[in-house]
Amino acid sequence: MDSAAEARFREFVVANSVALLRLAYLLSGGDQHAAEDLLQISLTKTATRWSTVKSPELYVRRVMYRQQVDWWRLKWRRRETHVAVLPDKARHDDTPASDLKIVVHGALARLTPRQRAVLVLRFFEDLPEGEVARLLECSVGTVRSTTHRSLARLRELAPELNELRLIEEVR
Amino acid sequence: MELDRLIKNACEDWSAKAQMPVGLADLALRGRSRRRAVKAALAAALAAFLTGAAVVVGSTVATPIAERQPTQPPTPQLAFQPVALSADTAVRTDLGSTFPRRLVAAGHVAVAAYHTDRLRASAGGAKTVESTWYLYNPTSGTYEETPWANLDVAPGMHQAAVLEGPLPTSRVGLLDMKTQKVTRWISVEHPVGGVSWSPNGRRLIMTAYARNPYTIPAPGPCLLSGSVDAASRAGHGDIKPCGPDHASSRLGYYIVDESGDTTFHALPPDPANGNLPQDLGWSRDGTLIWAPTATAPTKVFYTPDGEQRPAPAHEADDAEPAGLSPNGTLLPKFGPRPGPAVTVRNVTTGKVVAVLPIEGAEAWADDHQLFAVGCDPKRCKGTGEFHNRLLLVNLKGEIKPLTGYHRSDREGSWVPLFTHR
Repeated sequence: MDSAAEARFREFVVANSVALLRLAYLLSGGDQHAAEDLLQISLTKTATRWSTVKSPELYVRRVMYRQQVDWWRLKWRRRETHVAVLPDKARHDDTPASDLKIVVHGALARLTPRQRAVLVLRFFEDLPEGEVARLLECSVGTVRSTTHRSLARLRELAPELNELRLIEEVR
Repeated sequence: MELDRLIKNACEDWSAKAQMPVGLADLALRGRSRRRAVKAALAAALAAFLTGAAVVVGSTVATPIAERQPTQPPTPQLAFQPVALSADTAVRTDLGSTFPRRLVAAGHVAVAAYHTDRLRASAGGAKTVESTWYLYNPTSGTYEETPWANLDVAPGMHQAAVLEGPLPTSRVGLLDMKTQKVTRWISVEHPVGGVSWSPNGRRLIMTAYARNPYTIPAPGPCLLSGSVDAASRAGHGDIKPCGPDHASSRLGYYIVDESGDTTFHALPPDPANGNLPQDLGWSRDGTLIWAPTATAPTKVFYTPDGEQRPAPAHEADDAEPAGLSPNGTLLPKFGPRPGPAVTVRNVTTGKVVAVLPIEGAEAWADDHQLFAVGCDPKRCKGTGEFHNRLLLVNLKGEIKPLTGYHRSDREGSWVPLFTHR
């Protein structure tokens, strides 16, 4: 990599590192060290292909998703996720939205990496099912069923979300 | 709230807790993981152990990292905490009082501390500027008064380097901001009066002085340079040469590295600079250090070993404290008059990007927003210029107040210290 390309790479990292780290943090289930690993490895891979990469941000994201799925396939990352605070199941019906968000954090952290990746791609990144399927190298049907199972698991881990659904239905 | 919206909001909140590591680009360009080699090697080995098919995939993930990690001798206990930057860029204000109590922050930068100054009488008619420092305590979420005479906060706002009074002092403390306790003292032979963290938070530069750099000699005319006879012939009567206390007493500086090792380098003061404190600082990329001048160019650059080097582009042109924007392209300068106005120019194209209605550009929050000092628009004329407060201004000139008003020309007004949060 020549000095001009290196400068462009550095500029790219400075401009995008916050958003990319946030994504890595979510994909890693809130594990700071795993998120740093994931981002660093993705950036390293991007640096080695820098001269041929046309859309660096998209490329890093794609590397990150696939890296995460690879790790999931390798299973060594598919371990119990330790969360600092377990969702508190005893609650009142008037749980404010901020508390619900904390409950969702805890539940997301306890999903498998693949379940979490699908929900992050669909709801945080707002990607259509076809794009998620392409990124995760699976069929649209698989994305749909994984999303369905992930949401069911999320509700299982956080029963408060069922009450949310009831409230929505009543309204 | 629908479930998909709740998940999105929860993800946004949750991801904001990620702590930004430093040196991402450097490590990626060197082809190394920022995490420990042991962990990467262990992960690769474990992957290979769990499944035969994983050997191929696992090797593409981890082997280059493991191969490129040099064998290192046992690392001594580090003096400095690892820097972890926050991904939080939310704007935080404290408009309720003259002095901030709660965190003030925007973009990647926060007011990590601030000081108020008072003049105290010293021996022989001299006066000493004494500062009271208020340091952000992340545990309480407020700024708290400290006993330190001078300090600087490391990027990430987890650690501060603190100096005991009276200055100069023979030891510098490394303070854990969460516990507000000194975790380590660094002793020095030549007493120091100023301290500054490198941009990556892995080195410190401490400026050594023979006397308190904030003691102002007794008032009265004296001859700073030239012969007394010449001055007398020029109509200055029986003027006497200034005493040594009229010149800066800077002796040199110490560089402290991560292991806590200190190295002293002599660097006498700039004789053309009449300022008594002449603290040294770091270049933007942390590879060089600089000494202040009294004129343009505003800085003279050296290697950390003390060899003079040309100034990095536009780093010695910074008339405003903010200096170059984080992406290195925008430079604010005071004017045009009558103002208040600061002009932001793109140093690459030379074009004016914005003329902002502010009194001074203090620090960049990100590439599009500046911390600025601005006066009350209704009272900005005459002495009203000193009735001002800290603002956030973007390049469109849109202003968001960050603190309450104060009188910046009066003793006891507060001066912010900005740090990457």
